[in-house]
Amino acid sequence: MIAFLLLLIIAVFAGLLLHGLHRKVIARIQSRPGPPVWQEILHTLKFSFKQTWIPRTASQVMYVAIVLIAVGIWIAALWVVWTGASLLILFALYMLHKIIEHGTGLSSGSPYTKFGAIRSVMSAAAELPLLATVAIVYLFWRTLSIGEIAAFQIETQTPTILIAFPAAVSLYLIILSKAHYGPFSVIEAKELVSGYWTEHFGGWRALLNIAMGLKTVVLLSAFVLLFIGAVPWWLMIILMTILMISVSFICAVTPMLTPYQVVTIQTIWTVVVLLYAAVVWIVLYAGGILV
Amino acid sequence: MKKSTALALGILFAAIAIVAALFVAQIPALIAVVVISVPAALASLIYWWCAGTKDGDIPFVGY
Repeated sequence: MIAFLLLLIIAVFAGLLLHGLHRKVIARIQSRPGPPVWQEILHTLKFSFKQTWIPRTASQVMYVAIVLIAVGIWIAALWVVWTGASLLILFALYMLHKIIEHGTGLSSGSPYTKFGAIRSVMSAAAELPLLATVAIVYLFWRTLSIGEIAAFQIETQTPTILIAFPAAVSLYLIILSKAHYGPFSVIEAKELVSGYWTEHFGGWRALLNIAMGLKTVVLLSAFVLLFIGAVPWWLMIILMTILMISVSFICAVTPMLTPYQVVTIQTIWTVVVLLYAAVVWIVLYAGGILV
Repeated sequence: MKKSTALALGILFAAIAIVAALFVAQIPALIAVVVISVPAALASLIYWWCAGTKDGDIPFVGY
């Protein structure tokens, strides 16, 4: 009965810990000591009790509501992953995150956040590999239920990553595009103070941190379930940690891409995945495996 | 919003969220209640913590 409640609390702390690990790995690669891995947890706790108000120039309802929506959609996404529900629902919630980025930035009335919000439109480019991933997963498993896909991989001893590696790279790109301090972080616009986050401080920032932590846990666990299978919980934690560290490596050694590069890379990879899917479909159809 | 009202709302939403989360496995539709009540509880508690006086309100700052 208390499983989901416990999962929610654990996921928040786990997500923040993963973010802390992300920053630590990036720092160590860059020959810096970096913050402790629990720094993001401390930040969130600190922000929760800092003086909070609403800027006079803000759209008051939007300013508060967008933060609540951010937390809400990622709680819903965690539920989708936990129950093994439809992949389409999960990715619909992912697509709503773009609206969070947009709304957070535009609601405060600050020019810094406005630029961050406008740049968030580039998040739409991540939806191309997203849809390609969904298509190719369906091509192989004929279902979009996360639970069924995870179970089939264990039953058939065939992880999706072995038969649909380009789709795994697609989802990995999506995770990378949402990682902080990464090559796709032009969307966050952190060089503009804090981008779209700038004017959400104190308690609002704490809630956004919670939402981002949940987002990380959801995306990493979805990757493991879709491309490796329904593994035991301890292996899930290990695999999610390995994924996070690999993302951190890439974030540490790559420059921030320009908007043009962000859109181009994701578009090109989508084309690669779709070509792969087309070839596989033809082979399976010609071989009589698909009818 | 008064400080005491914010606290009451925070406790109310938290209680709703906990009860809904406890029974969500049996009644999946309760996830909608969890999704709404958890952020609402957190926001209410933030309002309560930051409300400066008993008469409440979040101060607005111009710039």
